[in-house]
Amino acid sequence: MKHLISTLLLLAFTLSLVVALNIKLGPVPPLGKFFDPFSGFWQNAATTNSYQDHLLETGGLEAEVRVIYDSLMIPHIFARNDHDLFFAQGFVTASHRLWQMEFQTHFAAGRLSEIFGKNSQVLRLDRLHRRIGLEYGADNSLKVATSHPLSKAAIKAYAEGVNAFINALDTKTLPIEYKLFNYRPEKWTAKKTSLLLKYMANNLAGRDYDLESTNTLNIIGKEAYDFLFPVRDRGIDPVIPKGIPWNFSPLKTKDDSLSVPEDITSAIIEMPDPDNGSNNWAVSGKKTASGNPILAGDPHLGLNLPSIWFAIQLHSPDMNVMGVSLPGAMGVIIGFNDSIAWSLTNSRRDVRDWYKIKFRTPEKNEYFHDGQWKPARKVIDTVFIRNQPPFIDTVIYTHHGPVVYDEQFMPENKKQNYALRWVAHDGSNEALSFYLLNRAKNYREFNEAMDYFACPAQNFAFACANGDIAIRVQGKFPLKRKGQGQFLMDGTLPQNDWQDFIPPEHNARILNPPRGFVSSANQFPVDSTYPYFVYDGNYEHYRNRRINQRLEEMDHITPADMQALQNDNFNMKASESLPVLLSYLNRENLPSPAQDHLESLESWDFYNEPELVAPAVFNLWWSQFFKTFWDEFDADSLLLRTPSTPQTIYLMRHDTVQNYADIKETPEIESLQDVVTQSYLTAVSELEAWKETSNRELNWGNYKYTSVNHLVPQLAAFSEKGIITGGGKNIVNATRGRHGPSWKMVTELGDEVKAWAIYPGGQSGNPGSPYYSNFIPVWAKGRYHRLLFMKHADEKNNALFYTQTLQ
Amino acid sequence: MKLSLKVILIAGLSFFMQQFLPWWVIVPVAFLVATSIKSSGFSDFIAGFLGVGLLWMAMAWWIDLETDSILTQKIAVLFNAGKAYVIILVTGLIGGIVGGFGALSGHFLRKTLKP
Repeated sequence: MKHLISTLLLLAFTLSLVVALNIKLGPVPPLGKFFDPFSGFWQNAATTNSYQDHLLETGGLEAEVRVIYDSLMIPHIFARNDHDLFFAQGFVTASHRLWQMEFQTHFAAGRLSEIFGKNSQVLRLDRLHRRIGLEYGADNSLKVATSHPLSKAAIKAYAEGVNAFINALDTKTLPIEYKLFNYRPEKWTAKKTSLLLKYMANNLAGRDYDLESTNTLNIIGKEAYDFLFPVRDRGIDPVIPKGIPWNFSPLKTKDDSLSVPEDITSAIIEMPDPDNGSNNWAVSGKKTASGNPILAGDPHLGLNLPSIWFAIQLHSPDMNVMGVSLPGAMGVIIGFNDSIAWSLTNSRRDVRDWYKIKFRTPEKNEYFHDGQWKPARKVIDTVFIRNQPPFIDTVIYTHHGPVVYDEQFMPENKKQNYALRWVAHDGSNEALSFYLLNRAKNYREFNEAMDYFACPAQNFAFACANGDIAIRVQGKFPLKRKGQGQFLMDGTLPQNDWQDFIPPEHNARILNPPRGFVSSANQFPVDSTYPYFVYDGNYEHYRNRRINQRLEEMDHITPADMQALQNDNFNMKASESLPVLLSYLNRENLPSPAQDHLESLESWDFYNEPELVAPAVFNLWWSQFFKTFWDEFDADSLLLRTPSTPQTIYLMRHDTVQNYADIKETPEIESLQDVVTQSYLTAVSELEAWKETSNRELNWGNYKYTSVNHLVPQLAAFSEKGIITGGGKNIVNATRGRHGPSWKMVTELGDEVKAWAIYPGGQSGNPGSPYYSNFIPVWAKGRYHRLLFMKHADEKNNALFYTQTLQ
Repeated sequence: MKLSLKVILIAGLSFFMQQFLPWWVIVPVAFLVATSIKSSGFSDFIAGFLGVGLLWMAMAWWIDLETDSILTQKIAVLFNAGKAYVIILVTGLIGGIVGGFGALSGHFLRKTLKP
């Protein structure tokens, strides 16, 4: 009896131990399952020897597909038809990036709580993504994409390929993040591809300044606002060069006066990084050494692992394209084929507007618009939370769009109900656009592909082997009357609704300009003669002018010159602001570190090289100065808009009336000299403090300390930190601490296409693979890999690694 | 002698069964080996501990060598363990404890059935 009890007790204990080690306890992964060397994390460890020629039965292909990997782990997919090509792309992408693909779409769909469980920040993010309507937009786009046979078939084949990979997964081969967080991938669907495109739309077109602007306008008044926040900064150099005639008759807008509600919003939703942007340019054969056109592009995004991009070549009897894809979407997004090359930069434009909604009763069943009460639609949104009861949210939809701001979500704002109207809510077929673009052979076919592209609006730079170069500003842009949408609008007035959209044929573009190059870097797209109202709260002012200045003076250009330009560290903002700062600095009685730094600033040539001290001093000085100068806008709180950098530099030189330099909270009247000097001393003491705490030698690379972080911030172990790079914000080499060139490509067209590229990551999404982050050191040095662009599957090349045959 | 036999049996059977069954198959393996062969409770626990623990540690060590510690290093950082070898030891320890208790449970069942 005694033994029986002992047996039962011991068995119960052993079983509980097994259970405890088989489930995730708080942040701790299921330790038994995770450490098991037969199917736990150990099985995710890989070496170059792990990859060998092999044959795989996928059970979904019409014919055999060959996937040839080169030494960079870039797959070159050879298929006999579209179906097999996109099936194989889905399969191959999932085999390297499945966890990321699912995670990003869960992020967009507001489903992270299903993975991470109860966490107020995660829940808030999930609710936010649901409320701004990313899934609503994805559903609308899915309808459009599946109504066209080409995009429908491609999305479907891609999903089949992903699912073939998921079905073949076992506990051993599951990506490590699933093992850590103890969950399993679900089936891939066409909707997830649609969600991914909305994830990108949010990244690139998900920021507006409407409520900050409204607060600012209501506090400082119209006259001061118009003076401080001009729609265009002085001295802009637009994407489409000045003086190009517009050969179309524009749609008319009704010229109603604008009235802005007198609301002050005390809390504003989180929005993506305002620096999400890019550079691109194309130079014609007239300016190149070889006589062939060269195209260069580098999109700037958050630096993450697994990387946002996955390099790939797709070959079928009627297409041969190479470049980078977005894991989760078929086709190549930025790249080249036998005839053309293209690259994108974000074409910023205000495509998000906020409407103040008047509800009839607190139940919010009806809202007022155009003189009558209209029914509101209520959507019950259930956020499932791991191991917890779900969170139920009710989102109200008006004809404008979802009411994002209400007392349920933004209680800080009392009873303000603001609905969001956003181009990303509308159905569009970017999948078809890329399908056509990937096989386009000339400028005409490029334009046909472009017509389907709606959101996020992009500047598409284009170069063709026949010698053409072009750039097109493409997106779906609401037709607005002058000034419309800069501020919160009264949602009861029908004249505030978007009346129409600018027809795609009226979107600005240029082919073979006389200057011999096209370029863009998120600046103002057009000059003032463009017959539509163009506005965004955040046009870039420096990178584009530097690129154009360099391209203007360059000749006999080689691909290496274009790579050097992508890595150009010239800080134009410093070259325009530092002399002004220095001219106002009071040099009397400066303490010794301030004196030393001053010497380095005065001898600086404005290049943000990593080994220099001056860029760090300037950076901190400028940001201190900016904060103090614009103390009336309390730059830390984010609730007011602050004037742009070029406007600030202008005012430093010309503000004789308002004296914005004065610090409002002190009784004294500070002069510009006081503010410049005081901010310099603060910057210097902050740098001294930095030296103490960081224990690193003071220079720009160490100070900036670039890192490429895993998508889950807690997984610092899977991140690469302390990468030494030059460049910075507003610099052509736009590498900041956590943000920068996410793919750099230079392509020379001609009889033979030559391409060089690099990105800050690696082809494998597996932290246990030697291909997880192997591109980072090359990227940090500003170097490139020559891409292998194969013509046929039997090509012999030393750079080939292994072949996977799919059946 | 009996101990080494049991260690080898538990390690070998676990290795075989783990090719197709989840990790917890080490419990029934250690349990059954301990019920089948008579020895002291202490010796059974040690047999289970060493049988599974050494197997897991050896496997982990071998994978670590093969893959130049790329992942082991990262897991060591993730768990604040510092060095990669700690992760190999912890792997052995987790397997060993579970195996040990599996075997000890088996030992008592044998005692209950054949006192």
